[in-house]
Amino acid sequence: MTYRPKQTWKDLIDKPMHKGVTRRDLLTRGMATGFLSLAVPQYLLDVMINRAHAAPTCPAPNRAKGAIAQIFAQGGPTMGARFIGEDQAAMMNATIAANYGITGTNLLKLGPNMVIDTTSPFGATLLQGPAGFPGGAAAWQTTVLNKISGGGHRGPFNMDDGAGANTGLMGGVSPFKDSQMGKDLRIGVNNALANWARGLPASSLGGGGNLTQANLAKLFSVTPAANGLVTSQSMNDASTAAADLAAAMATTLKHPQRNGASVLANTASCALYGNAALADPAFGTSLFTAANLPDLTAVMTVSSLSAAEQAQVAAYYQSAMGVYGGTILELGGRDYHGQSPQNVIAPADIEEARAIVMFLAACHAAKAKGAFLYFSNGQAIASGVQSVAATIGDTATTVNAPVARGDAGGSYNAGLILFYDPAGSPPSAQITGTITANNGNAKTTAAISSSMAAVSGLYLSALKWVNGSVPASATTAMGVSNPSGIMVI
Amino acid sequence: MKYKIYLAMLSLILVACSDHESGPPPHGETGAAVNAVSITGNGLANAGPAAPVSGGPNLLGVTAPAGPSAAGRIENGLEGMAKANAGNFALSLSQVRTNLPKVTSVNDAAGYDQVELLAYAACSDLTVGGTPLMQSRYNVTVGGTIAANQTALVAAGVRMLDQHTAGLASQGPDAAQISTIFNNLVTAQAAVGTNTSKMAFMAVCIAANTAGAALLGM
Repeated sequence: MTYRPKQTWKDLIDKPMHKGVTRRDLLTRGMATGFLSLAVPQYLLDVMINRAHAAPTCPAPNRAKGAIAQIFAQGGPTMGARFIGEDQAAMMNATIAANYGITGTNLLKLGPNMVIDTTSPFGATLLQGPAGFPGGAAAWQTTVLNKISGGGHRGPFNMDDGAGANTGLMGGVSPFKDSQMGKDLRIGVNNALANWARGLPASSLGGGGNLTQANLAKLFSVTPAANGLVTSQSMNDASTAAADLAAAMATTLKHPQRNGASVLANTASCALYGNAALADPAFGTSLFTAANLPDLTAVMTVSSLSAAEQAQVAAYYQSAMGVYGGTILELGGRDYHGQSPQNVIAPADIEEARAIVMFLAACHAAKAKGAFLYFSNGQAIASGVQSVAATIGDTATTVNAPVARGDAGGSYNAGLILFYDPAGSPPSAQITGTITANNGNAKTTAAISSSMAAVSGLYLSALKWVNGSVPASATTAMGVSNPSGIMVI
Repeated sequence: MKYKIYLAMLSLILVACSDHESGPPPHGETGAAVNAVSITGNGLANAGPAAPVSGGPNLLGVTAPAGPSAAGRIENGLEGMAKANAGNFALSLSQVRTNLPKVTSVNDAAGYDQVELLAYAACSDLTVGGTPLMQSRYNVTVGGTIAANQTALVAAGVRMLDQHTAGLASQGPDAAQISTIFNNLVTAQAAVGTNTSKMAFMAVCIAANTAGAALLGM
């Protein structure tokens, strides 16, 4: 017997009536359709965008002229015995002079807000200039020193010695300033950099005896020599391919969802392109042998300089010519209080002023703008000066060295900047903060919230002077929303 | 009949899902849910997730190769054929060591360019000798033209990148694109009449190992 279930409809042609669609069904289907019509195209677009993760666009190597350099004097020197503003000079009295470690009676204005004591180790060194300058020191003063101006922030650098050592008082200018190598040169940098400067592209050289022309040349070369292995073009091709490979695998490696991937793509990939120049085996040597740079030999007797000075002047010159970005120089042993004016303080002040002389001579030789930043953690208060014998370059002389008696960054301190213009029109920069009339102590202006803000502001000022405008990438990196509030030009 | 089966299944599901404790759990019983208890001072203002993490949903970010790890990665990319303690690789490492990235945080690291210089030195070690490793291991004939070695050069690049990515370069979804990149690189080298196969191999080797050691963020 065949089992035949009861069938209430006819096959194929006579199906049961459609179930009626309720209002709820209609709404549900409408919402589902609406959701899918938006979500599916969005999803597909996301997939396409992720797959199209492009290699970063790096700035083309560009020899943009203009030098930027910084000294970080680690420890706490007599900052008042460097250069001071015109307002300080106008209110100078015996107490202020003694606290600063200068005579106070031999002040000379070199330019706007740029006043020195001509008998101080710092001032005398600036005035002397480099040996062999055509026309001597007098010509140096009338053709170079009369093209500078000063600026700065007083007050926020009030943490002496160890308390201020690693508070980020060093910065950087690459990639905010274009250059061929796309990176900075750091010399003897051991202390902490500003937060925004830590990942900036740079090559480092040890301080002290490591600062030589040969070591700088080695820093800008490859091992083994490139002959028969790579050319500038093939090195550049390899760098481009490496960046392309990383971009091609970015989605597979989930870069769009991983922290720091975009930073890596930009900073790492773009750091490679300066290497193309290193394929020239003579590149490093040709850059940093001062005696072989006609622009430099025309304005000084290079052989009279110390090994470190020859290396410095060549480095500043290459920064001014746009080969690399900026030079950040840390000088240790600047905790002046209680130290010998003859053996420690005068030589250290002379060393720093000679660095500025090398910088100015390099800018003058390159016919390029320059900005020199000058920071220290704290300062030492002085009790007047002491006449000491000193040697500036090859010249024996007598200077009035500060007698540093104690750490007193809370009394007076300043982060300084010096501008140079080959055309003779340096910017009129301000020195923020106020000075107490009876003792020369400094008070920070309200706009400068910390030493960090001061460092950022002075770096932005340097970049503006050399670049012609404030790079948006720099303010973004520094997290500065109102740059004009912390700048001095 | 089938309705009875459905009914039985539904009953089983309801019984299984309704196996909850309705009262306070007995002392010592583990794994049992307890009723929520109010915490003094708690309120709606404190409810919800913590502040969103900036930079994306995945905390496992990319990293930079800090110090000697860059040399280790290049060694791995070259299957140990170039050693960081010998040849040009060692000389270069002594020169660039202080400028390699010092920290793994990509926000703070600098010195990626030095990784490429290190890769350059390591790759150069594969080009020395009568039958250099570029020929014996990567089948790139030293005396041959770049065009004749094109396939071997591309294969060499993929093989090196495979070492860095556990085979993703040749087996992953980007394999075709990677092959194209190496092909383009080799073609560009061949277009320069004075370039040799050794130079093309260097370009491929530098690209693969720079990407693998410094740019992939692993």
